[in-house]
Amino acid sequence: MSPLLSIKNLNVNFDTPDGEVNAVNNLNFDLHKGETLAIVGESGSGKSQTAFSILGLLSKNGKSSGSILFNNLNLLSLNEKEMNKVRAQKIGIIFQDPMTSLNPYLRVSDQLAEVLVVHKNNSRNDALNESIKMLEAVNIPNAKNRIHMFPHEFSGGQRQRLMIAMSLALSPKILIADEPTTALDVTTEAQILNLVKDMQKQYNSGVLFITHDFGVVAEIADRVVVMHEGSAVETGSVEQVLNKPKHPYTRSLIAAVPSLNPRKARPTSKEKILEVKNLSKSFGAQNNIFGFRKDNHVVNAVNNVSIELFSGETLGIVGESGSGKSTLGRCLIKLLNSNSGEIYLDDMELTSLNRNEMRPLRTKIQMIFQDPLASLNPRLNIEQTIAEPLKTHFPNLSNNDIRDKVISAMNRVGLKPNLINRYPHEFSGGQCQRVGIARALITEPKLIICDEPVSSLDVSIQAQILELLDEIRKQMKLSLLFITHDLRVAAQVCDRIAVMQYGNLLETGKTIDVFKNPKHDYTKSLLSAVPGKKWKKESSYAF
Amino acid sequence: MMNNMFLKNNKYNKLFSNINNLDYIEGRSLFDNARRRFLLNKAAMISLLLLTLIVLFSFIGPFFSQWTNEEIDWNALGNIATQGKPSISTGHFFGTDELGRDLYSRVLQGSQISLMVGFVGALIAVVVGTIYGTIAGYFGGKVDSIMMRIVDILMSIPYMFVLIILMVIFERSVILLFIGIGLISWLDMARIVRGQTLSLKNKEFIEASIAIGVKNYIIIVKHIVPNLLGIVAVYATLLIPGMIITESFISFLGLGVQEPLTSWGALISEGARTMQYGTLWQLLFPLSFFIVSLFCFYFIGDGLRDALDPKDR
Repeated sequence: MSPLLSIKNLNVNFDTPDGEVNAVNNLNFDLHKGETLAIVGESGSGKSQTAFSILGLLSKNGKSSGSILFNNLNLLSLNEKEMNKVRAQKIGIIFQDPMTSLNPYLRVSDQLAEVLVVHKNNSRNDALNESIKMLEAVNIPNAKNRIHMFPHEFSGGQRQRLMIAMSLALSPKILIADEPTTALDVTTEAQILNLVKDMQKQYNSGVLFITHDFGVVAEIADRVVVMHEGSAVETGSVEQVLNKPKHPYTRSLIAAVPSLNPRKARPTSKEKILEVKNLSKSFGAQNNIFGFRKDNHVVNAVNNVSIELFSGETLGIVGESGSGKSTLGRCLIKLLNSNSGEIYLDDMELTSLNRNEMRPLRTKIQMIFQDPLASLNPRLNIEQTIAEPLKTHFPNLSNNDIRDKVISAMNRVGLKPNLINRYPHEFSGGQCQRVGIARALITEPKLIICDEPVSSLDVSIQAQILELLDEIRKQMKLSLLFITHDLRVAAQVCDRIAVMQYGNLLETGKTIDVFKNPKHDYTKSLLSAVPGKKWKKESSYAF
Repeated sequence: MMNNMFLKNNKYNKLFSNINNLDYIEGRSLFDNARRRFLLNKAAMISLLLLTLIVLFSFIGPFFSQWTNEEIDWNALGNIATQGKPSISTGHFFGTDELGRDLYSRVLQGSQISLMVGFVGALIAVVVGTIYGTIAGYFGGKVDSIMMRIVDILMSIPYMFVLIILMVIFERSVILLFIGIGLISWLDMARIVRGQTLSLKNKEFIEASIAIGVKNYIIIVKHIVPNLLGIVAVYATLLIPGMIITESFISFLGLGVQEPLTSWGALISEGARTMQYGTLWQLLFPLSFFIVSLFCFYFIGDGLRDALDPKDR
């Protein structure tokens, strides 16, 4: 059987002010009917550019050469008009952020029906009826009425369903999905993956699934192409690539994926470093026109949460978006003022302290942020950034002392000290996160709140940062409050786990207990939704 | 004092001795990048050169003039169209005005005043607007609401009428003009800066500084203002020509600066009044200075905006 889509010697180059950049290098693969082919790679591996060149969507300075054969048609040789026909009717695409692909000012019915009216010459009425059927097919409840709503009235997962319905409207031969679940919560992600699977069976189409997540690959793919710096380093069946990777790069990538098997529990100390009692925080009290508070539309972001954290321990706060886990972290370090409840840090009550009284305590509690680049001031060089806590809390230190301390902190987090004069934009994401960690460490705190510290990093960098955090925790006898949505990471990093949903703390327990015997239904559904859970992967972390 | 536990370790001490001999890699700040991009922008660089020449000329030019701006050339008076023509031999390089005064000296004098109005107005806008806007944006809540309502109220006053009435009631003077323009110039700037501050203060690096315990005024000075400077610089370069136009408009109405002082607007107004008597130079010389300068300001503003484009960050 001849392949549905055949890519031969594909090269993609970009003209940039710094010279020509090669994004895809001599790529070959076939996509067959009824199969799901996953392209896996880290950021910058050229996986998205491959998809864009199939659809002729490369940005203006990009050039592709080689051949992409579809129906004996070389897609690279088509002009814009011919390409448009292929794009609409033969190849569907789903993007990462559905909101950017849906027109926010048009009702869903209009957007869906439009496709059918234009391409299938359906009448308005037929098109509407068919659209409703399509929404039902992608499991949107109450499709008949909801089809007349606007995109923003749907949740993130539902929007992605709308996109899938739209791209499948003309029953394309090929569906290209570019990281369609990356922005979604784990339970929604599982539903979308199932939907893509179902749709593929129903239409018997070929699916090209682009992702960075090996869990998703294990869940959905039949065959896998692993890309690295523009080239395919390994191609094979999903079993072969995931379980017996041949190429050293694939091996290192897979080794970096945290296993879902919790690591062994460590003996913990009995010394309490942090105790939170009945903490609550609500948002949404609106201001009237003079800026004074009016209490309505209140959302309880954190609701009556009590946790404790022992010295040297890592406590994971796990939950989906909107669960209040970040709000909790921000309340603990007093970036937000809680409405009620008590926080004891080393037996000092924090909620009653004002800004000035809190200041000396901030040497004991520090925070690491999610977005490494955004957490550094772009105008300050690395030394100024790392030295800021010292200058704030120890104003009498001489410049030489400060520089010595900055350099030792940089050594500790694995940054070469000669980078001290560089600026954040000259660093990679992983390096920026190291700078953020160095800044948090320099006052030798007892507790660090890590707010999704690795969720915006590639999996291999993620592994390095997690190992670094663990090493520092050991060396400096730190306690970590580790906020994450990623259960794989939580399994490898945390001693105990607290599960949150809608601001409520559902259960707390040793990681291994929560993973093996979850008490709460929500925890069970979270655990069962983790992509690739059947893929038995041994822990490769040395914690 | 903090116990230096990093330094206790011998291994680290050893490292230090090595490190002190290390060659530090020089970083390239965002301002360095912006400067490089700006220097590569031909239109902006030419404009900057031209503008510098105009500024220099308006201050050095008087040394070469053969007439002061107050002297009346009695030979030319009454016969401006023929005797007051631009000529090297009479020493009136740009001709004379309707009263027989040397237009060369008058244009230079007008340039000084107009440029000064532009720069002073922009300076007030930058200083007051930035401080006001960052404070309102950073502290937010009631502070923000009250401060911005004040701006709204000031903005809703038809300043042109007020300025004209002030000019009529009090003596027309440059000081009053500066005060009037200064009073209104910072309002837009304050709004822009406040908006930028609002989006900046939710950035993680500001949160990081708050978590560190950095004092508010240091956060404003060290973290917020430097990140605002790009947009402030762009807006200021676009504000200067706006100020000059405002002043010219008031002067054109015959209100702005008072004789014997003059400005581009006043000179253009006089030149326009005598256009039909065949003394077109009286309009063209001040007008060309005016137009070229404004062009330059806008091109420089454009170049700055491209150079400091936040998308490139």
